[in-house]
Amino acid sequence: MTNDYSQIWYSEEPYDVGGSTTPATGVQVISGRSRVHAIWVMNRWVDSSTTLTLTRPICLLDSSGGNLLYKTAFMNPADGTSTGASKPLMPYEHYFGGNGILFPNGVWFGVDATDQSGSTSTSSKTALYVALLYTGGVNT
Amino acid sequence: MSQLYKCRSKPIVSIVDESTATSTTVNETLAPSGTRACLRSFSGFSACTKHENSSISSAATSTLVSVEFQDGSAVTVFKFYLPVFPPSDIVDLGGNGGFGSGLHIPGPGILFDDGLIVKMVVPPNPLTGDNGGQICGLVDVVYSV
Repeated sequence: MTNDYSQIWYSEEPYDVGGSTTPATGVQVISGRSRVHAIWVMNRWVDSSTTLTLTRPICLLDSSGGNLLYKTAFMNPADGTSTGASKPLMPYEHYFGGNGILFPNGVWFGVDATDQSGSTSTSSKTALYVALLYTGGVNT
Repeated sequence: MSQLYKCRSKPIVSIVDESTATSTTVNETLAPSGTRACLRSFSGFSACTKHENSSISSAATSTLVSVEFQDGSAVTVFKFYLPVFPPSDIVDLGGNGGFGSGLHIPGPGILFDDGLIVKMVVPPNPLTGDNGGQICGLVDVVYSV
């Protein structure tokens, strides 16, 4: 584990990082040699369904279109019988352990174009917020 | 030689009654401008008492409780939305709220070298009856100065 202070990159629009649709090849969000230690995702309810919807995996790459060093996917917290107006927001935290994942030249944040079933429906975009905890680099 | 700092903690809570038309902001200065602080971890949740109350809902960020960690000049370093886990059934069977998130920060924490302010904003809660009831946000912060 690092002795350095953590830094944080976050987005409230993880599917549109940088103002346009986040590509699977990634958008650079951290520059410089970095170690990513954790990811926080807030996953939201998007529709009422009796089918558990897969969502588009989030990826961390070591360059644009480069090596995929981390990938994570989420399930839509759907409820087919939900009648309530208040919808859940579910936290997902993944701490990588050890010294984190090394990105020698920065971190590129990517989102797959489809969910794990191949669907491109908007309902597969359920992450409302994403944050990366890292050391070494700086936010771009 | 390493220098050790004692951790402190601060619970920040805001309960908003029904028929509240505007958002409610709580500002808590944990370290004033000109002093250093280190954010170690935090945990929190939001809740509503009635499942038909859409004042807190993940339908939009405007209907979630936000927490901003700011420096002493009120510049936001990062923002976070508190989780909510409402009852999803038509009958309020209980078990609403209290679903926290333990957000550890790797290493020593995040350094705030010129003050640390926590700003929590609870959205408006304008309705009454089945769509009303109180809503709340709560965040526990562990930090050192």
